Amino acid sequence: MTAPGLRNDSRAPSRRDFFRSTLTAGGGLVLGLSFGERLRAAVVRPTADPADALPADFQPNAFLKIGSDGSIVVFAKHDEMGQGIHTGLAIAICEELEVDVAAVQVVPAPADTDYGHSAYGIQVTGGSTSTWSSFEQMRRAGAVAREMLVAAAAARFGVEAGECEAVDGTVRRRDGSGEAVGYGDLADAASDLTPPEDVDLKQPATFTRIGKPTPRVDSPAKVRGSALFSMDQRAEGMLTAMVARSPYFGGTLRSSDTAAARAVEGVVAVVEVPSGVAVVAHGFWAAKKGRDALRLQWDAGEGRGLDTAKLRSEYSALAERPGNVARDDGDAEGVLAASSRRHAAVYEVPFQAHAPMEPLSCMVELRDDGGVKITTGSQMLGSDHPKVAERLGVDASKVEFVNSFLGGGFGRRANPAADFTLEALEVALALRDGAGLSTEVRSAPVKTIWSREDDLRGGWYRPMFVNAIEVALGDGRIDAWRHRIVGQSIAVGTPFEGAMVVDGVDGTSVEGAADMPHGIENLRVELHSPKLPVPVQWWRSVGHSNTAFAKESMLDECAEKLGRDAYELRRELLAEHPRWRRVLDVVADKAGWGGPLPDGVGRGIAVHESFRGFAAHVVEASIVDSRPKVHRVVCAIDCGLVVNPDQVESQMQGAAVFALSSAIGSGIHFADGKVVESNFHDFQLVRMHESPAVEVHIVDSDDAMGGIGEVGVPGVASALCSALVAAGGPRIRRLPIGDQLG
Amino acid sequence: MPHLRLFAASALVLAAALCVTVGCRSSGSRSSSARASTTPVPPGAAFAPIARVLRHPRCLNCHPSGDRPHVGDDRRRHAMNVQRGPDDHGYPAMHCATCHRPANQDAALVPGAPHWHLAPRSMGWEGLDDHDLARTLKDRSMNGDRSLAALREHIAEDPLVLWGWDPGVGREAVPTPHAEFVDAFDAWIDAGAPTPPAGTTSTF
Amino acid sequence: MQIRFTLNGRPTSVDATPDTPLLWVLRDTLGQTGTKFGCGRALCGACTVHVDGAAVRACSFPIEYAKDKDIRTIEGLEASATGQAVVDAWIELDVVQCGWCQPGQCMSAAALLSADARPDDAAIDRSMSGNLCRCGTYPRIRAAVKRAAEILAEGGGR
Repeated sequence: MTAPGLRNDSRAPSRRDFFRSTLTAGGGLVLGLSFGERLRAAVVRPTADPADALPADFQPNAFLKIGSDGSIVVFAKHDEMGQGIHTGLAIAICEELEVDVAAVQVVPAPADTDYGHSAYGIQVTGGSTSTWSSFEQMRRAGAVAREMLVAAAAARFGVEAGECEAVDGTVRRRDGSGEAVGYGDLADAASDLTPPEDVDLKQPATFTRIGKPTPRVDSPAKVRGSALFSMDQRAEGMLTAMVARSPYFGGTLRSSDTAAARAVEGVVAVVEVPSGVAVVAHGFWAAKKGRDALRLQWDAGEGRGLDTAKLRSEYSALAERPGNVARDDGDAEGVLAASSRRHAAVYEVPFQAHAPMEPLSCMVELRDDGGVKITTGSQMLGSDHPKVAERLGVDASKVEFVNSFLGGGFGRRANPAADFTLEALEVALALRDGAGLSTEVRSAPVKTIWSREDDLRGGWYRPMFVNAIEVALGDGRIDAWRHRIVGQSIAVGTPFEGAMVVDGVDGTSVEGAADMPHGIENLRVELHSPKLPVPVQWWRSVGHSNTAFAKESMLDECAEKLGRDAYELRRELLAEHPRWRRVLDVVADKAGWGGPLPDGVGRGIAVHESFRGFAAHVVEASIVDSRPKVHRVVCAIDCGLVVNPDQVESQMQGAAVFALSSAIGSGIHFADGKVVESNFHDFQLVRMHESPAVEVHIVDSDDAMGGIGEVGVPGVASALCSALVAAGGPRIRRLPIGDQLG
Repeated sequence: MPHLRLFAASALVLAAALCVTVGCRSSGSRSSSARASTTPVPPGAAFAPIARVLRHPRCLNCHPSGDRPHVGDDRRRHAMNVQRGPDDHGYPAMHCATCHRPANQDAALVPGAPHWHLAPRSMGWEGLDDHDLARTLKDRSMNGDRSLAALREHIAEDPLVLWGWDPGVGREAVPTPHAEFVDAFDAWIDAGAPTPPAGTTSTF
Repeated sequence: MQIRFTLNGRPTSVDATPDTPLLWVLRDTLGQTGTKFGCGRALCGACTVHVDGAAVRACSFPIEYAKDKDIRTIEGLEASATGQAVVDAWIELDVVQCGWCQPGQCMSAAALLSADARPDDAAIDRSMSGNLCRCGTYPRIRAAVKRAAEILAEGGGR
């Protein structure tokens, strides 16, 4: 997902902001930090983009708790959905705190403005921003704690602080006496100290943890099944709800017969909610059987007649007309009109569901004071939290929000409408107000669970896009390039519209196209943003997931037409952009670009910048039984300074597989107003036997830190499609590839 | 194709005649006095109604000639890289019984019947014409050493075969009623289990 | 109906309607949430458990079939040397990302290794393709299966 430009209100610094001493059992030190203007100025700002230079304001944070028993707890401001951020945040803190990552416990932070995003303001995890935006902040959190522990130890030893040093969870004297005291023993004393207003951070050359492969802090619990995800959360007397929703987007309930559902053993209530009809039961199975027994009639509403083939032709027609201008260098129209050597192509990507392996769920416990406890797995507590308070008409302080491990997110759990959270709240409210229900039922905690079918048919997709690109070719070069993009805006109608849509152009619709740095003198990018009743939102790599496919595919077509090598053409076009060119060179070298391949195997190459990260891919593929067979993916990534190389590798591997799924087999399509796909048999993800080896090369880089998780997705689809052309197949311009090779 | 359609039509007439002649017997009771017809019939016609059933997706999907089962009425390849395995029951963690129970699981849309597994490779029927299908069916070196009587019992009583007539939600049952299928089988046996001439492929 | 079975070595008895999938008996009735729900149709493998030693998708395994069976879940996987090796290898290679599918992956891997002590790539492709991973950890799963085999060959596991 991409930056919502919201910020929380500035607050005057207070004692609480600078220091939170708290009443933890055992009297430990809870350290919260607030970063004044002076400190914030020191925060690394990797690029000069003024939109990103938002002051972090006063962001009082509470990231660390050191117990007098020696336990160290890190409160992770970013949600762990697989990207390894719990480990990454801990590494940054532990580097400065001088303690091993394995010695700390990392827990998800609750909803609290203390945990606002350092760039976006609200508490959110997305946009591949977590590492770079929190890096300095976490280091300072660790460094301040270290200095206070050192000061406490110095006082105990009766020496100057400079005569002590922090080492491996202890503070010891530098005099060689070996005298040392553990952090736990210092916690109480340190809690009485005033935190320093400034601290020295370690020089990168002295890092012992940052940049080293570090085991994930969540691996053991996740492997053993003891890690608690949203759906695993339970409460005494909890009921389970499933909601029957309209099969049409924008549809409304016309009539319902709930008798058979109520008769299902274990069903305790059937209630109407704004999104449909909820069946509430003892456990999932009874709720599902009850829901299956509902007899509901729906009025299709504006979603009636939604049809992918029809959309395709409507979008294609739109792409023939000028749209809102997102970029206009030189005179693309004039050069195209005058050119005798034009080439045009239309590229299409479908709606895509995030399909996290853990379907959505949210547990709601209404409280007598009008407040609520929400337990879920959210990427955007900073939006969900106030929305829940608003719905209840209570102050946010009455809404307790507990986050869990997220069984995959990919953007779905950062929902601008807080859809699955508010729906679960509506279920609980309808249950509380339900006629003829026992007090026990009306006051029970209730967890709303989505099935896989609910997930795939529940909307909030990556929008479908049609791209029309026309180029004018010169002597070995591209003289003009016009890219028209047609697809819904994910921002219009959300709280983020004001920040994301400028002059009728949703920046996320054109990212990766309107900002392409390739040396093409006459370059024009236009956008049409048609409105549909299909709810859409960010999906891993957002607009880049579309634009990179179109842009890189057309570059390969240009290379073919010009008789140029696809790698060499890109090198030339990117001559002024060293970070692009470096990953391109590395990937070409490591993949053996231009070298021999077995018969029937082809190579494709792509390079793309997204989310401040730079990635290049070479894909080797062939066609077997009319299906793409991917043999090998080589990836080069430049994300600036690397915190945990093992997780950068893991993210790049996963991103390649994720991207192959949407390139080859998955997509959401409409017929008769309804979503065609329903489960993993027809929403086909890459499986083990289809998964290639993915080689990852992390480029040594002193450049600004950038994103990782999404950066590995955009280039893969076009590299695969070009590999298939090289393998003797047709040029695929519509994803997923599916049976188009047959 | 016109030839095949003509042939199928004549087989249908024969099947109707059979029904009139022998009545609707239950699958469990075989009458040795059954006689199909005294009038000449096209060679191999007795096998056509059987071949059609064997070639139906409910039967053919798990009688592949290769090592991969098919699924669905459109006979697409079984997803998940499912393969035959050394004993026709799949591979570890991907045995047939990893997903398939002794009965259909309609809530999960997973079909099931007792001892769900692939027919041995020697009983792979894909790509065979009626001639080869009949030959394969009768050949004791290929059919699991079954006599005609044992074959008859298999098609009349094996729950895995019977599943084809009760295939669960979302799958078409074999169109020929099971009793008619057994009757046709009896008639074929009574006619001496003739092998039809090569080149004919009877389908529904 | 009352159904008795052995769960991770302990005699267990539950009262459930016979069609309730084992998955929901584990998660909702017994509070054993290591076994995950991903599709409900035996398409993703997140719910994989062992029944009498064989891998089974618990989402489509009605509890009536569990009668008198020996059921093992991720919570009890480490009781065997093979299971221990799988868990150790998964942690050593940091296979997990989001982690939701991984208990099921481990159960499938253990079933594979119980039958084939040194699985090659083709064997891994055959036995592990019923388990989906949306995060795309397949390259590491493949490596971890092989690593677990090594651990076992070295006499590791408990």
